[in-house]
This record gives sequence, C-alpha cells and structure tokens, in this order.
Amino acid sequence: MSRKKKIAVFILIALTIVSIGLAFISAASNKLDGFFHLLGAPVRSVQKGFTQLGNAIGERISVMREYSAIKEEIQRLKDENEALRQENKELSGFEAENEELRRLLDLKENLREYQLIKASVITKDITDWFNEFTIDLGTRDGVKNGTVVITSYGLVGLVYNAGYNSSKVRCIIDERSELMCRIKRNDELLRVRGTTNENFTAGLVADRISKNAAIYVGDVIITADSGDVYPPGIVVGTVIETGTDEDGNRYATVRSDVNFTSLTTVTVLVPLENGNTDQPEQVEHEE
Amino acid sequence: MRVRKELLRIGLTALAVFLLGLIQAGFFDRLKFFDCKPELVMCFVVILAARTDILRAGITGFLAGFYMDVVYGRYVGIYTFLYLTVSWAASLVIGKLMEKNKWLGLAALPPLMLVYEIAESFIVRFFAVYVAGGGELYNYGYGEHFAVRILPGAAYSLLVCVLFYLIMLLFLRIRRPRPDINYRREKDIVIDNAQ
Repeated sequence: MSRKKKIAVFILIALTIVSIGLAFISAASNKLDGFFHLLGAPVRSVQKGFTQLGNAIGERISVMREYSAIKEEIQRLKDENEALRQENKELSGFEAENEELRRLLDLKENLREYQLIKASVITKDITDWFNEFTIDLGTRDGVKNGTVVITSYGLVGLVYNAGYNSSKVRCIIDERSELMCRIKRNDELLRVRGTTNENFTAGLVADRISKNAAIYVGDVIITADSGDVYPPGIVVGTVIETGTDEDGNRYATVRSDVNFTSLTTVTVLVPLENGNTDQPEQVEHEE
Repeated sequence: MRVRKELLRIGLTALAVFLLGLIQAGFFDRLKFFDCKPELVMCFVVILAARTDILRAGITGFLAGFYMDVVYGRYVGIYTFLYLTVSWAASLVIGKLMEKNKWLGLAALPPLMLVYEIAESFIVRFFAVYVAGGGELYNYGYGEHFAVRILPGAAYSLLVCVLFYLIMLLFLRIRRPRPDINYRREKDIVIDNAQ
C-alpha cells in the first residue's frame, strides 16, 4: 500500500471514530446540545423562509388537486345547489370560527399564569425518525428548556433545546416523552407516553391505570398537575381503545386531536413573571 | 489556479448541500411516498463520491453529515457517521464500476441504498433505545419494519440517486464534449491493412 493510501485510510478511520464518539456523547448527555444548536442557528433563520415557501406551495398544490378531483361534481350540482352551498359554507365557516374561539377562550381561562405566544414551525425532523420540530422562538422571547407548547386542539410537547432565536420541541407522541394525566370525567390518575415511530406509527398510550378506575372509549385525557412541568387541564387526547396487556396491566390507546404531521404554527406557554396576569396575550389562530 | 479551482469545487459542494438541505426540510414533507421522504443530501453525496477518490468522498460525507446533524438532527454524530460510510462505499464501488462503463454504476445504487436504509434504521434505533434509554429495538417485528419503512425509503432515495446520476452524466458530457474526429476501431485498421 502506498504512503498516500495509508494516510487516506488513517484519516477515514479517525473520522469514523470521531463520528461514533460524537454520537455516543450526544445521545448520552445533552451538554453539547446548546453549542450545536448555536452552530446551526444561522441556517435555521434561512430555513424558516424556505419552510414558509414550501407550505404556501403545498397549500396551492393541494387546493389544485382537490379542485380537479371534484370539478365535474361541482359542475353538475352547481346550478341547482349554488345558493344552498353558499349558505352552508358560510354557516360552516362561522361554526369553525366559533369552535376555534371557544377553544382559545377555554385555554385562556385555564392558563392565566402564562403568556401565550404564537410561534411558527421552522423545520421538522427531516428523517422522520424522531418526533420533533424547531420553532422560531428562543430565549430572547422567554422560551427555555421545559417550556410547554400547545395548539387549540391540545398539548403538543415540550421545548428541550432552547436557543437564542429558535428552539427544538419534542412532541408528546415521541417515545421518550411521558407525562402524568387525569381522566377528565372522574379525575383518575394515569401515565401517558409516546410510542415509537419506527413504522410511522407514533401515537399515545396510557398506562399505570388503577384497577378500580373506570375508563371508557371516548374519555378525554387532560394533563395533571405534575411537578410544575405541564399546567393542569390541557387536553392531551381522547381514549379510542382500552385493554389489558399480557402482564395483566390495563392500558388505553389515546388519540390526540393535534395533527402532528401538518403543524405550521403553535402556541408557546411562557410563564408570567411575579404572577402578573394583566399582561397582554398574543394568541392568534393556529393551523 | 489549481487552488482556486479546488476552492470553487468546495464552495459549490457546500452550496449544493446547503440548498438540498433547505429543499428537503422545506418541501419534502408534502412529497412523501408511502410516508417516506428521500434524503437528498445523502443522494448528492453518494453521486459526488462516485467521481472522487475515497478520501475526498469520505471527508465530504463526514462534513455533509455533520451539517445535517447540527441543523436538523437530534443526536450529532449519527448522520456524520452514516454519510461518511456511505460516501467512501460509493466511491469504492460505484467509482470502480464507472471506470469500466459509465452506466454500470447504476447497478450498484439499489444494493447501496438498501444497505444504507438498513444501517440507518439499526443505528438510529440503537441510539434511540439503548443509549438514550428505554424501549425495544424493533417493536413491530423486523419483517414489518422492513416492508413499511426500509423498502419504501430505499426506493425513494434510489429514485433521487438515479436522477442525480443522470444529471452527473449529463454534466460530464457537457464538460467534456466529444472530439470531432471519429477514430477507427482496431478491427477497421486490420481490414485497411489487408487491403
């Protein structure tokens, strides 16, 4: 083997060892997270624009697709149903708006100790292995590690790596996420955790359900007051299945109303300092 | 002159990685195939590696993977390692095949993409489960995981790789236009001599 080839092999082995070492250090501890987050900050600013462009184009394309699919049907019914369709559309719009406002009002009542700030999703996990995304708010906006992220449809997740002007959020459906919750109907305590996304199947499972607790399909699960992490009363999801595992432990499958794959905006709960509840809130509609 | 050319090459590669990363994160959430997204940067690095020596390919893969980890990843090092490995493998296999025939390199892409997806799946799950804590390596059985995740992912990345490969061939053709003189083959020369 020539000297040049030997050097090449040596460098490649060194790079391999460095990359494996980095992966172990990064996975085992979060000490370097802040540094790496800072390193990627300039690119994330540019990414925000690209993601917004992608969302805008995607929406146009989906509208075009839907339009072409129902074009013939619309044409056939257009004459006889025009007035009725228009009226119905308006009513549906009012209903959706009313529902959205009602949800936000409920949230506002429950979250008096927090400032609700709207945030845009800059980038999602591009490999789909981890259920996380990056938002355009950071420590300059009062966001820190452990800050709760929601939408009007329920709990989304927690900030786990807050940078100056952007932060990484881990969704509650991620397998590393778990939180204590209650059944809204009877206040029974249970644990809700995320499941693996290895086959694009990430979701929520509730366990540690007491033997006497009554839990049924359709029960709404809300956050419990657990160590000041999550404010109590935020909707986590609805029970869609109950069962018992091979060890005899009860479990329930919970479905969140939040569509984690199409999040574009979220609301961040920044605690108000000194319990000042008069501060103006910046809630806006989410998608 | 050579240094300038080299700097230009590095700059263009960095720009391509940067742009492909932006496009992948910004657009491909809506362009999924069986829930899968392709890895544009990985495909680019693989095709680039086919035309470079193993060391240059390895370093390019290492830096591109590190960039992806820092900007988009959860654990820094995973894609650094994966891109480094796939790059030198591409340089070694596709590069050698291309020396024989420019189209032969395409034959190495399907197994390379499949091996990459298998390795990615194992390494990501390994770090997510054993190093970060909790869970099973494959909760739904490997067969189902292979059919649902690995195969569609490999197919989508393969599609992008083939596209990049064709672009590379086109680029090489533009850079090195065919000479006007049509050289005769040896067989023709023999016939000429006989005459």
